[in-house]
Amino acid sequence: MKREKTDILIIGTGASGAASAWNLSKLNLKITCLEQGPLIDKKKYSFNNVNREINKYKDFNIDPNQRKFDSDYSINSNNSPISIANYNAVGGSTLVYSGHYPRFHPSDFNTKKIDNIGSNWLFNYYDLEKYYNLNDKMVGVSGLTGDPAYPKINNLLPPLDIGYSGNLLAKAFNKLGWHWWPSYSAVKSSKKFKKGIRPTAVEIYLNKAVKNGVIIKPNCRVLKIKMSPKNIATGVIYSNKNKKKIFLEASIILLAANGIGTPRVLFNSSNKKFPNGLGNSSGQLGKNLMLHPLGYVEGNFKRFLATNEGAEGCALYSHEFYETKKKRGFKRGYTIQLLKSPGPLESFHYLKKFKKIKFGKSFFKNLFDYFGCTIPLAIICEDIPDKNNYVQLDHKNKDSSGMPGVKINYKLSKNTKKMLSHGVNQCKKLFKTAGAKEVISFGPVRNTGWHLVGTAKMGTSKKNSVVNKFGQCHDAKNLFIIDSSIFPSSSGVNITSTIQAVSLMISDHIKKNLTKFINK
Amino acid sequence: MSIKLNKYSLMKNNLKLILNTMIPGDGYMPSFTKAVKIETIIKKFNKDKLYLDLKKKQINLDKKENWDNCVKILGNDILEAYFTSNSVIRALNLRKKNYLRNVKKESMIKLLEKVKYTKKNFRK
Repeated sequence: MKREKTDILIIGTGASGAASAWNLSKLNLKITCLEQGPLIDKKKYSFNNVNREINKYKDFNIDPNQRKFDSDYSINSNNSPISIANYNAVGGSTLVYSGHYPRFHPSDFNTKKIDNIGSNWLFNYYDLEKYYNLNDKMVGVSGLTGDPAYPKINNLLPPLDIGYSGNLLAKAFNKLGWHWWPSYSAVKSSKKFKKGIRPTAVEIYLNKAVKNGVIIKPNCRVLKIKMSPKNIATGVIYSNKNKKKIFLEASIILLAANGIGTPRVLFNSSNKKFPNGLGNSSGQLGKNLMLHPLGYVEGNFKRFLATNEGAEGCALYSHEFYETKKKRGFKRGYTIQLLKSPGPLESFHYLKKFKKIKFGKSFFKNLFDYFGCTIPLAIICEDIPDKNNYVQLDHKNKDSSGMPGVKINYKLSKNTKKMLSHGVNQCKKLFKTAGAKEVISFGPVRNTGWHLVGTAKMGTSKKNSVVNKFGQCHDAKNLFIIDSSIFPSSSGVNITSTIQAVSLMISDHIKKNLTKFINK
Repeated sequence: MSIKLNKYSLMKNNLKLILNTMIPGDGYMPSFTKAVKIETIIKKFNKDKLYLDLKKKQINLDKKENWDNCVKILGNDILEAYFTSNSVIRALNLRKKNYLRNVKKESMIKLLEKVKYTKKNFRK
């Protein structure tokens, strides 16, 4: 087998891998990133609205089982009401994300302590604040300082327009006396970047890392992490574009393959000493999968409000029901997000699904009764860790390199069901107050498993967790997990901001302790 | 040669009729062939049986079977071509302007003042 050598190896170039690649890139070390997906020309994913609609059904479909690209792996979600969404390419799922950048709340780091549910983190919001600030600066996050639901967040770019739909709903929120705030959105990473289009991890971090000498190898899938008898990770075996296996030796390995891909690599790295998977001495690997079950409520106002325009991910949000209130009958809570409604093409497909549109004389009447007239709200529920929700290897479905796929086993808890139902009812109340003529709702929405959390949780010892507070694997001291799989709780907000802040914090820790791992 | 040309022209006219029946246009929106060059559609389905049929005769769209067949064959392709055409994007923008002419927005900052007074601070 061919052999290669690097000082630091990063597995995955999505939100977390990219942030650490940049943060470590100023060291005088050889840093290599292996990415199982291809390098995609920026023009293909920096699409305008109409092209984005078309691409959603084609090359940029979020469902790996529908895309079935060579770089994808099978994710069997038959045993789950929510299927997994991801994207495998340089930049990872940020190529298809909406660029919504809220932070976790301080309470999200202490759910066990304050609400007696879930698990506590080993650090808190204020330990992470410095990295949130750095990440906001790198990303170019727009928003408005002063949200009473958060500690003060400074140095934001000006907030995006909340649009006609935001205006209408803001008045309804005010009538009900509920919290709302304009959203945090990734808008630009540099002066060169076209304003208003969300930047991906490529523009935010990877391009800068490459300038500093980081090597990115696309179409290279890591199959196994190899270990020495002294519990040191010695390197990885990866399969390149031509399906040739190569051993890449590394002094430090950072695993950043997301809440599904990370346990997949670790399970596949089992050996005599770790027969149940590397990092699985606690039996916790793959368990506690959290997915942010999502409820959908749509109000139709039967008049055109250009609801299809505005922030890519979320124009405004409400944290009125974010924290625990005993009388609601469930613990923790959820965010209400105002989304933008689909464009004309997606509207057509949506209406067709419900047999509400036909070609011919009634085509535009049918289309314009819906397009731009409806306001979609998403209810992002905080998911609670549960050992019965887990991922495992699926040996029946292998990828193009012969590596097993993944099977998801996941059920909604009673707590989540109550939360979801509460959210739907509150959104209906909001729409009634806003004057919607028609409201529809459903949930959990199936194709929404894009926030993948908890499957390699952090903890104090190898008896109860996979990694320590710095993502350092209890089973291998030079192996760090830097993605959302280490999160002990899921929060009720989008996770990219926290993923990147945590990744920056861990890579800072590595920088400070470099001599423990590398003799140079 | 002229027979070939005639057949092509017959097919083109017949296809035009079908496409404009499927997307006829309205006060703002152009009909299909006003927005999209018909040749781009011909290129996409010139190996289909429908293409050969249209060279011979007009298709009776009142027959449900014929209509369903046209929708099945052409549906997805014409939607993409239509909604990505510049004239349709312009028409949608014009429609938006006219519809929103009398809709007023309040200042976001004014709307937010209420939130600051009614909402307690975050939970630590």
